[in-house]
Amino acid sequence: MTPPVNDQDVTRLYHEGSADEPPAALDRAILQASRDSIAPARKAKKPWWPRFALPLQLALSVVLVTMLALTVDRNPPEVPALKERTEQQAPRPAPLKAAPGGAERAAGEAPAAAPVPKATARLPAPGESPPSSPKVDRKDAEVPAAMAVPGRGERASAEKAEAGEVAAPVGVRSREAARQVPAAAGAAPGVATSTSVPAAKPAAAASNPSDWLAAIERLAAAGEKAAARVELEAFRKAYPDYPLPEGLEKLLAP
Amino acid sequence: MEEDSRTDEQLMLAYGAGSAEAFEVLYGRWRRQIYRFLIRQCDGAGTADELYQDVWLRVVNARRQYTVAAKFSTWLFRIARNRLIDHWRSQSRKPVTEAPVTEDCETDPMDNVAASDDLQPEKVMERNERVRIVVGAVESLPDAQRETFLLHEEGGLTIDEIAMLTGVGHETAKSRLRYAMARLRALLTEYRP
Repeated sequence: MTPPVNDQDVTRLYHEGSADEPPAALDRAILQASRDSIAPARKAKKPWWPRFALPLQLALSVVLVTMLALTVDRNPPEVPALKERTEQQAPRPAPLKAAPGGAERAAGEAPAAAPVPKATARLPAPGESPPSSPKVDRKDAEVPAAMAVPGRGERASAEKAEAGEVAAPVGVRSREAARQVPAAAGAAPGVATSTSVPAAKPAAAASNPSDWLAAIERLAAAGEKAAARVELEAFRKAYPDYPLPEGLEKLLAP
Repeated sequence: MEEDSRTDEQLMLAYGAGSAEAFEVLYGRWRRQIYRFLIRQCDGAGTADELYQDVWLRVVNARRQYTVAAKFSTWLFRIARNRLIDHWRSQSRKPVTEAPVTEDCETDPMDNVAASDDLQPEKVMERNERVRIVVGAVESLPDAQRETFLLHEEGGLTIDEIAMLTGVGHETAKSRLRYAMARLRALLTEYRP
């Protein structure tokens, strides 16, 4: 007699015989569907534009640097408009007629200030004639107006000076003249005993050498030989290589 | 291949968070059980394949809404059962859930519903294979008993879980399982050589 069948036997036999499985094609289709359902979400997490962020930043940086370089190239740092603004903002210097007179008084010479201011009043703007040599003068005159941008501003201020102002202000001086101011001031330490003398020396140095020489000639012609000699000494310190007119030495001879 | 130590629920949550690999593990764990649950209750393999695909696609589509309210297997077999009921409705077959449910297991009419002629135990047992007799016997069981048996054997669900899933009381589910086992035992005894 066979033993009775129990529940465990039924379960075991069922699982032994139950070998049905889904087809492989069905498995693939379902797994693919499961992957596809997440794929759009993954794509949505990462927008497209960050991929181009770095190249875009680099390109913009290059464009910016190029534009800055071109701008600096076309507009040099010494912009005429800026210079003119500086001129307007600069304090108006004391009239030149007082300066040389003060210098002379300080030096203990006779007061002969009257001719000097006239000479300095007619001084052209420094930009028109650089002080180094006449050769440079010619060159500067040949430069076309369009190219000589800073010169135009200086000429304009010189015209203004001629129109009514007494003298070209210190701020209008060319760079070379500015460089020579301390030299001129230090050239005559013995003369600059009073406070007015330093004002006279820069005023003289502000004018170009030919005008300075003309002023010295006028001083000498007016009989202020001592003052003229002092001025000439200062002039030589300031412009050591500038040729002196022949008649000046005769005039200054004792 | 190394076994994944994560629970079914953790895998489903991971899949909901975007891990396709988690779904593959989960699918590998439950693909056979779901397929057998369906094929034992369908007319043919073609229908079972269709239902099987629909069930898993429902899982895929429900991945964002999934919350751990019960065991994953309970949730999965509920989806399979609902899909099966939809299929039966479309075939004008009376679904199991629409049968009158009573707590009295002795008077449950579903217990006495006979299978179709093709699935009669005599014909199934003609296969002359002991194992296949059992499988055939399962297929010849009344719908409610067969469903309960499959949920218990394939899904590994407890009586309480089966009761909750099928919407019947604990005792009803228990008696259905008991009747199914008794019938299979009897069939096996009959066909012993």
